[in-house]
Amino acid sequence: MDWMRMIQLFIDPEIIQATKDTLVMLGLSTLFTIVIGLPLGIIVFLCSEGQLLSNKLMYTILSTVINIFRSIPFVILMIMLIEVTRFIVGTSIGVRGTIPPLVIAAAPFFARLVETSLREVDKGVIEAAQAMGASPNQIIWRVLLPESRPGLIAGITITVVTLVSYTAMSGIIGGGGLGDLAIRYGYQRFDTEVMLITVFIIIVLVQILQMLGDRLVLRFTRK
Amino acid sequence: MINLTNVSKEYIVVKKKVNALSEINLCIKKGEIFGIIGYSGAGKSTLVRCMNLLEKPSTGQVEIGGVDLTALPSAKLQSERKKIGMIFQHFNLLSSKTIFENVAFPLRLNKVPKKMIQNRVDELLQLVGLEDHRNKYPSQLSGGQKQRVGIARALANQPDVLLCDEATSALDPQTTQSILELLLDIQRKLKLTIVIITHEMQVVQAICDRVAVMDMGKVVEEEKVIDIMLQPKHEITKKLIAETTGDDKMNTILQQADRKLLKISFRGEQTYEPILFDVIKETGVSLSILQGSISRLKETPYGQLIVEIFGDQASFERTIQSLQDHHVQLEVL
Ligand SMILES: Nc1ncnc2c1ncn2[C@@H]1O[C@H](COP(=O)(O)OP(=O)(O)OP(=O)(O)O)[C@@H](O)[C@H]1O
Ligand SMILES: [Mg+2]
Repeated sequence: MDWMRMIQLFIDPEIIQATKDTLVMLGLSTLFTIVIGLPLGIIVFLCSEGQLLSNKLMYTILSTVINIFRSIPFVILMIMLIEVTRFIVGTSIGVRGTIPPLVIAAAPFFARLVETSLREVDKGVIEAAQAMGASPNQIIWRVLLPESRPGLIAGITITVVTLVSYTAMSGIIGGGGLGDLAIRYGYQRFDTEVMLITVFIIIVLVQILQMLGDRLVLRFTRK
Repeated sequence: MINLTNVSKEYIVVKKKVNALSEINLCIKKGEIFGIIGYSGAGKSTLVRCMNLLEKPSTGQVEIGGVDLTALPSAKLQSERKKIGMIFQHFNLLSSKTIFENVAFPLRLNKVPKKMIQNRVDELLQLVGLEDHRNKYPSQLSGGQKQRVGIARALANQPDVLLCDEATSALDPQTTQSILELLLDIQRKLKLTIVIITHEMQVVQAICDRVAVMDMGKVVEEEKVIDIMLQPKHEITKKLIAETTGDDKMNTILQQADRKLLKISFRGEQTYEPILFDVIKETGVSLSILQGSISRLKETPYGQLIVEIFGDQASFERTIQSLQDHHVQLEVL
């Protein structure tokens, strides 16, 4: 192993570009995951037994769909979705082509985490808001979301970290970013240094994200 | 003010019907403090939750301030609920918001202008004595303080009615006392109608005007508090009272036959008059006091004595006559 080369690789334009790509994929997929997963999680929670919109049929349907998506391994889901991805963003490779499978895999996962943290909200508090004449909308925005904020942030952290590993996996079908680099150099050309560097950057990224998430959770915990 | 007509509530638990409430009829007047007492599972919470329709009655009508709540669509019900404050055993404050924000919460739901919220919350925090804690979070307060926040929040929208479900059950006796005094004070200032759920007779004695006793989903007795205390009719009522006064020990004495026993009840100012002394002077009878208590219900003092009369039947009857002349209430045991 060539240590000098390892150090030089840190400023290698291709590695820098790959890191940027990974960050873009991560940022966009996280955004869409939250935009889809949060409302989905809220609806699932509200439809569950004893809650505001309690609806057994609706709950069973949504819950089953979420379970199906969650039980398919990401690598397989990604390949299954190639046509869908092409339809949505026009291509199935590169940064753009990776985002739809990432979101479709992560949103149901995140929705489940949202549902779990909403379940942690004290039922008495929801009831108190109802007794004060709060509408279902007000209960969602002013009670459920603020009260479960630490849990939601923890959920987002877990989801983002999962998305980091998914972005790396997407390299298999030409997804772009660090995963792509690791596969092209490390796996196909036995270039150990590049592989190690990409793994190193991914580890650092995960550490930073987790630390940030933990700090935010702490900051918003009032219990 | 609050009229319940034939209110019933049944739950289906594992395909079996549970009658939590059956055919409740209650009429709570404006400005009174009304107690609802009973043992665990009697249906007290279900009843009070039916009053603001947190629980929808299976049948029957709930009318508050002349509005039939059971007939309202949900948007109208939401606006009616703003006139009904509620406090809870476990306070149910928003843990993510400060004390100030908790009290401001119902006002914000109502879209009250910021400036007015500020003033109103300050006023309420002062009323419950928590001005200094406005920027703390609920987890930083004691149980009694949390309940004060609960009360301030319930009063924010200037309700006509305050519902309290076991509001003092999670508190120690001293804190309970201070919360009850606060409620009494608020009731006097704001002329609220207050409904208090409890399983402790002391709470009823301390602040209620009238009380309904519940057992197995039914109201078994409904009276002025003083009448319930001095002349309980239903077994459950007697049991609840006995627990507070320690009357159960008397039963062994009472079961001994051929003793001439009298239960004498005083109410109001006569409690402090030397009636017994006068009676002895008049009749020359000899007696001994087996048990006695003097207490207060809100402002009304009342007392109860159990005495044993020594002597023949004639002197026993003379004593009874003399006591009746003094207008005290008597019961031969
Ligand atoms: N959501 C529910 N589902 C099924 N049964 C219920 C429900 N809520 C209450 N019950 C039943 O209704 C009856 C009355 O309950 P309730 O909570 O009103 O009693 P309570 O007098 O308030 O008792 P406690 O002093 O323990 O609070 C009980 O038998 C209880 O098991
Ligand atoms: Mg109860």
